[in-house]
Amino acid sequence: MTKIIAIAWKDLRSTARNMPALVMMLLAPLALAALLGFAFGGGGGFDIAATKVAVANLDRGGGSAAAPGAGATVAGILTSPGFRDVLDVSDKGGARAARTAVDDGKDAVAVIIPADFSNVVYGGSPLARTQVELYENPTQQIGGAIVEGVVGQALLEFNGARAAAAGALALRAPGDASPAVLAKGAAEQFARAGGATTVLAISQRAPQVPGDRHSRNVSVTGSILAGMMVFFMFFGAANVARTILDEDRAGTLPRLFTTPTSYGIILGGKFASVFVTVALQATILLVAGRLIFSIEWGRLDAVVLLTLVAASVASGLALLVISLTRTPAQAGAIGAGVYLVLALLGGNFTGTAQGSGVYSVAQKLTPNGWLLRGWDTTMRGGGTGDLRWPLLVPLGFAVAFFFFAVLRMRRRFA
Amino acid sequence: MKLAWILARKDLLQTVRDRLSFVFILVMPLLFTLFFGLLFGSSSSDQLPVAVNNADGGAAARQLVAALRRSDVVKVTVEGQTSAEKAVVDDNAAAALLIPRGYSASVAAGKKASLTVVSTQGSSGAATAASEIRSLAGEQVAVELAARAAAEAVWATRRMPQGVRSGVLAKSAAQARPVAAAALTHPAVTIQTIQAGTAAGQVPSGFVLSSPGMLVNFIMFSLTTAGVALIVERRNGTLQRLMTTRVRRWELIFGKVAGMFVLTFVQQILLLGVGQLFFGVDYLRDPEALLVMMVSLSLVASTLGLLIASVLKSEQALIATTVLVSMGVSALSGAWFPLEITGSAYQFVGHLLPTSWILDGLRGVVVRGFDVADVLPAFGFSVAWAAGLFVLAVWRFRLSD
Repeated sequence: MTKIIAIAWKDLRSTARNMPALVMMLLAPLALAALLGFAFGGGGGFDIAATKVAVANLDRGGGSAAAPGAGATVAGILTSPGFRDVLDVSDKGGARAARTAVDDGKDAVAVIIPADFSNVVYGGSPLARTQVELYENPTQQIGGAIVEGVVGQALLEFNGARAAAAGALALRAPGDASPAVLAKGAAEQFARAGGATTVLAISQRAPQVPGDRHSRNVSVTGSILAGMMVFFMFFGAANVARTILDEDRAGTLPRLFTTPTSYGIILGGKFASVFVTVALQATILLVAGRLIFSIEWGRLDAVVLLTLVAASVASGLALLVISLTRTPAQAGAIGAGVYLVLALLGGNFTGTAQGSGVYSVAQKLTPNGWLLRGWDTTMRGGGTGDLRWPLLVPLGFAVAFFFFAVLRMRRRFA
Repeated sequence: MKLAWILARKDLLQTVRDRLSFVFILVMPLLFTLFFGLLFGSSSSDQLPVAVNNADGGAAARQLVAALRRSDVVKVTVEGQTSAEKAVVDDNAAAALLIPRGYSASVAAGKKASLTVVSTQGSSGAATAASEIRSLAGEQVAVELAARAAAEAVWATRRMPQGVRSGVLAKSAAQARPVAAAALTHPAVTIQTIQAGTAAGQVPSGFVLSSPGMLVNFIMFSLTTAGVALIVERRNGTLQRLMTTRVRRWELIFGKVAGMFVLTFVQQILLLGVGQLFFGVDYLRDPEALLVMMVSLSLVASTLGLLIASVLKSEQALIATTVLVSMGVSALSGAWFPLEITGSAYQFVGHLLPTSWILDGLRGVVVRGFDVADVLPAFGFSVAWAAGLFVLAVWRFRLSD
């Protein structure tokens, strides 16, 4: 055991003096987490820029301050204080100017209210139809969806008032007031009731972990740093594991094998150094995440277990890659490719939140995909009881990686 | 100049003959493009699973669930609250809808009706599901309000005692409800959505928008292999030996850049070809504009690769730096996610990079019908960056360690 510790300690010290390795292991994940956290507005939630909207109100109806036309009402909703944070609206006057603003990339969406808008909305004809055109930049679908939602809600109120008028006409009996009076009364009654958007209240919240009364959103930066941490643990493990090949080429390793120390202990020391290094790397990143980004990682026992399993996966995978390659350059290139593939499939760059359908299945085929689910669970307040599969599946991968790595190494160094 | 091209050809042959490089520069990106094309191509038409917990059971709640079942956007499963929330945690549902007790009574009485959508923050599927729920629930509430408003308007003109009136109102509202529902099924005012630059009604799929981002990601990542070769040649003295021949320093440097340029250009041809032929990404909509963007990307990638390899001494440092740089550039440029979901400061910084302009140009070609004139600003910006990177690379270029 002393010899294993001695070999592991030697490799650890060597890694501590290797600046590129330290950059990859520590600086890179923190820098990328900071960058992506900056992208999404910091720890708590998403903070997106306001969508630029060009409005062209061509409506010819209405027009007084006391009774604005329906078109002016829609335009007014878009510029109301409630939407100031999400919509940056400018009046372009005409439809062509509004569409050109979108074509030129100055605005994401143009809202073009037709000339007959008020006539259709306030008119008595049940067959009258008109459309509000949303001319969207197809590469900015989120902004388009937001504007569509806002305009859709506004149109629902107009259509609801007309539906109330239609209902009133259907109920009209001989001796009742004139159709025009009833229709107007019903529409006004609908508006007085506050409209569908006022009556309906839809709230959104994060899911509750079973057994936990509270629901917590996973912090954006926490989710990103967890993904980056797991990804760069692969590189951290690879850096240390590659010393086996370096020493094999330099002749140090064969000379070690000529000593009375068995090759199992020598390789065991190497394996231990890989595991300890990445466990230490993860610990530093977790502490840095807590101190710098105020990330709440979750319960200590769950965090420790996840960290140890992640270190097992990273070191097992690195040793497997080493066992299959001949030179350090080969190991570096193949390893980088394998880690990138796993990271893309496992959601290290996109997060498990974006997984659905086939992609969700693909994430579950990777050990890092399961680890990220585990981190999501602990950050939501889950305990070890909620981590059964996020711990067992990656551990199974780690065991398999170690097993095949040892098999290959035995043949190689026997 | 001829010597420079000979050197470039030598580097390319070396790369192609190195099976490892061949796999990671060409095969792996191709496989990934195929994989993500199949993934996003299928998922864009999939219905989003939504777990519904109907704790109310009343008429309005049942109608809402029925409306969600008829939706093309979501696929409903009815569950208990705990299992509905767990479905979201386990990623088996994009969102969960909790209909509380009393919902139907509130809707029928025209009072405030609450619903809760449970979802993971940042999930685009959840946002879409929530939008569909809001739309259908809004229509349902609007029908009820319209029916009540119709009844109240009619009975406001009839003189009836108060006690009888409330019962009669409910009965009249029930009579008006199907008329109101029919009116809202065929509303007078609707939205017509037109995607700029595409045929009317055409909406680009997820892969169409993500394909250019993946292209930039892989081109940046392939700088590793190109740069390693230069570092190895510097270390084993090949570059110095080349200087004893007729090759001049500028020809050597130009040869290196040209080799990296051709490599990344061929990579682009393969990846764009797969996107065009197998996944319907219309890159060839304007071939000249596409060519301009491809040249821009290869110029930036090759000069950046040269600079990194000129500055660094070891393969390990190169791999570390290239991974960091390629990931940072990809994240800032909008290769991983659209910049529109980020804050304005991030978007500003992202647009200082030529790769974000190139991505905008590529997406513009594919979905907005950009032509050469539209992508020239991106080309100009990329050339300026490439020129700056090249000057720095030449300044730092060493023949030996």
